[in-house]
Amino acid sequence: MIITAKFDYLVKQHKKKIYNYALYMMKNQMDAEDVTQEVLIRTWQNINKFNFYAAKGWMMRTTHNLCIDYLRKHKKKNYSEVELVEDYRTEIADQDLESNPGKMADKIITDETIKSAIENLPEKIKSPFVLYELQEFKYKEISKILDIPLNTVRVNILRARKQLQKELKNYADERIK
Amino acid sequence: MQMKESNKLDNKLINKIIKVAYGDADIFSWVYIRLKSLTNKEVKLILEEYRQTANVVHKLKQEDIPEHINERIKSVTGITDKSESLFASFSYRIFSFFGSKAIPAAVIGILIIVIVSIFIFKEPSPPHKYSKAEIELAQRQFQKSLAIVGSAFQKAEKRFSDEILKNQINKNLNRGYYLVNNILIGG
Repeated sequence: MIITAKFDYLVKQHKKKIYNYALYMMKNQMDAEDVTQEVLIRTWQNINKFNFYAAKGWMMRTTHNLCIDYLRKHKKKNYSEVELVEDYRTEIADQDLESNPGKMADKIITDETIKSAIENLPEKIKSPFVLYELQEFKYKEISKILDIPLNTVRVNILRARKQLQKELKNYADERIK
Repeated sequence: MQMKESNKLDNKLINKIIKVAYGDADIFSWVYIRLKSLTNKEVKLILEEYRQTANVVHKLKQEDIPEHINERIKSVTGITDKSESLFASFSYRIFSFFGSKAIPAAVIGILIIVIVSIFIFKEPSPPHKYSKAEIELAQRQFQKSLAIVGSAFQKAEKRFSDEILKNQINKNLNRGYYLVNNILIGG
């Protein structure tokens, strides 16, 4: 009975995070549902193998690994292989900012635009970004979930923010044209 | 060639601006960028752009999990609403209650406060009450010690009167009187 209660609690507590993370990673509802279901079933099968407080990390790590497996299996090139923009300076320099102060602020950025821009981020920087900004995980937790060094988490989140800004800027520029 | 102002902004500064915009910069960076944005138009603009994006990102709503997944999980695990007993629901509440680390921390904090207050405001312990036997024993010991002291005084008095007074002082006094008499009377 206590196992049932533990599982029930874990599902109620984390299912939304799992599903939303899978949505951003898989970019389609069907696959996200499959991943979520698989994670929840694995949680049930391994309910006695992890500490109650470590469950959150375990579930998110499983979600991430399953997403990666799915993407590989289905050979979905969901993420672009474009090189990340390491330096934001060149981009800023191209624009006549002085003549258009608050240019971006005047443009409407909808939730859907942002979601789409996040989905289009390369997987390597998308994972830490989604976990940090949307799921409110800490750097340390993300480092454990993704099995990457803490500093890499920080750098990738920063890169994702820059890349996202670039995507939105491109989108806004297209709308103006 | 006239370089634009934006080119002067180095990567470090932009990183700081982004962190401030997303709300995870330290206080020194926050103050520095805020002050900088007052004087530098470009810093202000970049900060504004990133802040706008950050606001939207942080307000993004999480999608609800479709109901049919819940049903599928219930069918796989065999957990149904009916299978939840009173004990299970009680356990769930306990797990939910202690799921957050803030609550155990608060409980520990309150316990510490209670223990410390008990030690601080604890009343002084009442004086020890002696039993009748203890009082009688003490009286006997007191009488015995008085008797020892009394006998010592008596012995000292006897020795003083018998030996010292009689033999040493009286003898010398008598000899003295005798000598004086001889001198004064002359024989």
